[in-house]
Amino acid sequence: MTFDLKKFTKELQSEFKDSLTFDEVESLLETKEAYNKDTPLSTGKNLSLTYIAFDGEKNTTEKQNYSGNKIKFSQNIESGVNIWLADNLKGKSSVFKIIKYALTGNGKSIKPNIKKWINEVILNFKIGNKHYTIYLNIERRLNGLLLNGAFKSIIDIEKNKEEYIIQAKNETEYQDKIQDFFFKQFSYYPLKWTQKSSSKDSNDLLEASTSWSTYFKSIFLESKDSASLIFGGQEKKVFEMLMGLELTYPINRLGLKKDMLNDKKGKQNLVSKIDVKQKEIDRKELEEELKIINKKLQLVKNEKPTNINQLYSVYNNILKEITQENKKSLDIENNNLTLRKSLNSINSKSSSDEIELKRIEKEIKKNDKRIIDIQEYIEIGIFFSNLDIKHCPSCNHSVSDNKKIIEKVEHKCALCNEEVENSNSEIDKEIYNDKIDRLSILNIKLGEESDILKKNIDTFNKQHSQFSSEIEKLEINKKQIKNTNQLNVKLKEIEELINDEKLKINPENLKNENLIKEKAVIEYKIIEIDKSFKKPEAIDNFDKQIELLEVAISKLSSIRFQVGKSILKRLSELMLSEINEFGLNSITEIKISEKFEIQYKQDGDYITFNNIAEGEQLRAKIAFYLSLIQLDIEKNFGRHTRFLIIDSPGKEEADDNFLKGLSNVLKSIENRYGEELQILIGTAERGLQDVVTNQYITPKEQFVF
Amino acid sequence: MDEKDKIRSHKDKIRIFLILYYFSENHSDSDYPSRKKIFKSEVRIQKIDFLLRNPDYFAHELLNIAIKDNSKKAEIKIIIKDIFDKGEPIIRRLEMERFFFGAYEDIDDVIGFLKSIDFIDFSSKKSTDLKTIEKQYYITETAIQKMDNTISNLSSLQWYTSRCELIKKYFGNLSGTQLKVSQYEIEEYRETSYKNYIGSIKNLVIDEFKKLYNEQL
Repeated sequence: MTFDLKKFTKELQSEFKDSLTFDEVESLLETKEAYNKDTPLSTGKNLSLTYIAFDGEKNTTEKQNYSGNKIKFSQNIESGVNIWLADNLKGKSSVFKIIKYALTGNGKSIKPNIKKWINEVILNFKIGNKHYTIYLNIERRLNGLLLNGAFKSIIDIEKNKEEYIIQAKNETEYQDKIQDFFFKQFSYYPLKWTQKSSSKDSNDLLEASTSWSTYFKSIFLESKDSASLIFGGQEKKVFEMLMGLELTYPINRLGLKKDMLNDKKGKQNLVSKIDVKQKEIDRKELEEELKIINKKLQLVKNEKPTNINQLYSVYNNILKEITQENKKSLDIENNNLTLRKSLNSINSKSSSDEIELKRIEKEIKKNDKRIIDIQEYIEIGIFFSNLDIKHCPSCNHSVSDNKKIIEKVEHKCALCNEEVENSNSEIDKEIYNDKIDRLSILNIKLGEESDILKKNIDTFNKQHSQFSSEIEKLEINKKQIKNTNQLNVKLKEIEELINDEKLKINPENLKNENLIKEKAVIEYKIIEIDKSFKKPEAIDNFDKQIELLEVAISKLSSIRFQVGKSILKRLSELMLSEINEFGLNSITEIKISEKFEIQYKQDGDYITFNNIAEGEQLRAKIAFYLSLIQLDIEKNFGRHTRFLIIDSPGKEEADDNFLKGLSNVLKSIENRYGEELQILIGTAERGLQDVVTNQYITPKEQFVF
Repeated sequence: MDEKDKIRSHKDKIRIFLILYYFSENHSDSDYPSRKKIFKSEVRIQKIDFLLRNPDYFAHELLNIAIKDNSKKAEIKIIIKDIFDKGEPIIRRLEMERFFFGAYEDIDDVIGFLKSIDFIDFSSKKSTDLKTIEKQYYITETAIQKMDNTISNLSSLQWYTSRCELIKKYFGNLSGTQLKVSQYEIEEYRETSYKNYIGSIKNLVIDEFKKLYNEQL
């Protein structure tokens, strides 16, 4: 389905045309990412573990019979259904929790004492056909690595650790990075909602979002959570993500926007009421103050003429002089700066030219050397090649004419009989003369360049001395500027004289000035308050915006439902058959609503998961996940990882049928989907022994690790 | 062999030959009538070669003479100025490795070649510990003829001829060992470790020239 946002926006705007402009509607409907982000089509990938290992030491504060024992647990894991069979409280759950820790970085559910025991964890897993290795070192704080490939030993991990996909130095960093990794693998993203800040004195609304850890609840079905479909308050969000129905993203983000707007509106109502009251009080107070100041001003109105004009004129003259001298000094500094800048630039140009000149001169000499060498070679080479070999330098025997003929005809050395190149003895004079010509021309050009550079350097030197002498002149001028410090002292003295004089003449004068100032400040404050009263509050507009978002969300939800209806229907059919398989025959129909609420029809009534009898909930729950996985495998819809960890199913289920049903289902899953999914089951039910092929049995009363 | 090596090989051959030619004495031996000139000791070849290949060292040696002998001060000034004006310390320089006993380069190949074309002949004795000692080189009649007819006319060899004559004029009477001792007085030469190239002392010469003649080279 391709969703036409433009059309949608236009239609909505026409409904709200009296209150909102097209631009406003458009910006309200805008989300960070595209509306078409979601697709219910399966990624085709599945997660499955191949190996888990961890080591450590059982350190206890109180002495136990296992205190100080070393832990060295390792286990290959197969695809399909794997059952861990061990008595309760012997470590099955801990193994699963360590797996969860490795896959999410969230180790909160591991018992604190056991977490302290573990030093290192190695987990090999596959996504599709690609192998990965997680290595955690948790001796002090978490150090985590995710590597490409399957490595079971620390040595191999050490060897390959430079090519990591993820490296993290603490738990938060690891959680972020591993989340990013799995999100990309399974096309997950965070769904958001709002919640009140937990701190008491804040009424802020905070943004919260689902994490990889949240989605992991759809993988790891812990025994303690059996009363809810997905543990935690965000079960619908997890369900929405697992389905991946179109428009899920915009529905979520617009909902978030709506909540934020609601909050803003509420706050503004509150704030503006408080504000108005406070402002009224402030204004009254200010008016009172103003009255008092006006009275005081009346009292000091009787002014006498003063005669301090002379002092003022002296003061002004000194001030003028200071300004003039400062200006001179500033001018000189500016000139100085400009000159020094030019000087620097000349220096750097000149030195770069000098370097270039040296390089060229070196080049010329190098070429001269080559010309000499080649000239020598032409003459001497020809001379030598025209000579005959007469003696062997080693044994002093003469070289026979016969051998010389062989050398000429067969190109074999008359002395050592080795093959010789014919061309070796001939020197192509033309080629070498050509080389000499080229080098000579090059040297002429280089000579020209060097002349130019020399000229430049000469000019730079002249400019340099010119600027230097100008700077010297400025230094002399600078010395002639009057010291303004003395002038400033003088100025201060006169200022004091003036003040004294003023007080003598009319002590109220200064007071008067201060009162006028105060009056102006109060008048300004009153104007400001009046202005703010006039500002209209945009509360109405908030209402309209919120209304628009509500309409939009409801429309999008119904589109999503229409488009995804057939998928949801398939899912509910799968769920029903799975539930019946488990022996819950009283449930005769399952419905999934537009808002992702699941309703079970039992004895003629529609009930929610929470209302299913306690002893039946776990079955409904497992049925739910198995259906999600089947939907993926059989119909190619949904985004479940096809990996489940079910811890202690049956603990609370009183019904014997459950166990029978469960073992039937497990067998059937193994037969139907063996390779395409992975389910790890931990149970103390010895009745589940030998139901599936892959089982790891810990004898009675013994620890798993 | 690439072009550089070919050029170098010919250079070495002709240079060594010219040294033997210019620095040998007339000789006659009824057993070997073709041996017309004699040159004693390989060390001496190496040392003269060093001066030929390092115009800066040659200039330095001349400076030493000028310092000691005031009568030669003026003529040596002209020679050194000429060497530097022509850029010889760079364009005529052929680096040389320092061996156990000073500047040395294997010339066996060159000697072998010169012998094979019947330019030279040589004789030597073995010492009691089987070392070759007292090497003597002879210039043959063939070589002298070629020199007179052809080689002396080659314009590219004019520089060698005149430099050899200069070396002969100022250092011709010194033996190889004496030459070596005087080269050792220069720090750069002495400090060069075994198998490294002996560096240029151009700047040293410029400094000392300025001290002696109060003039910039």
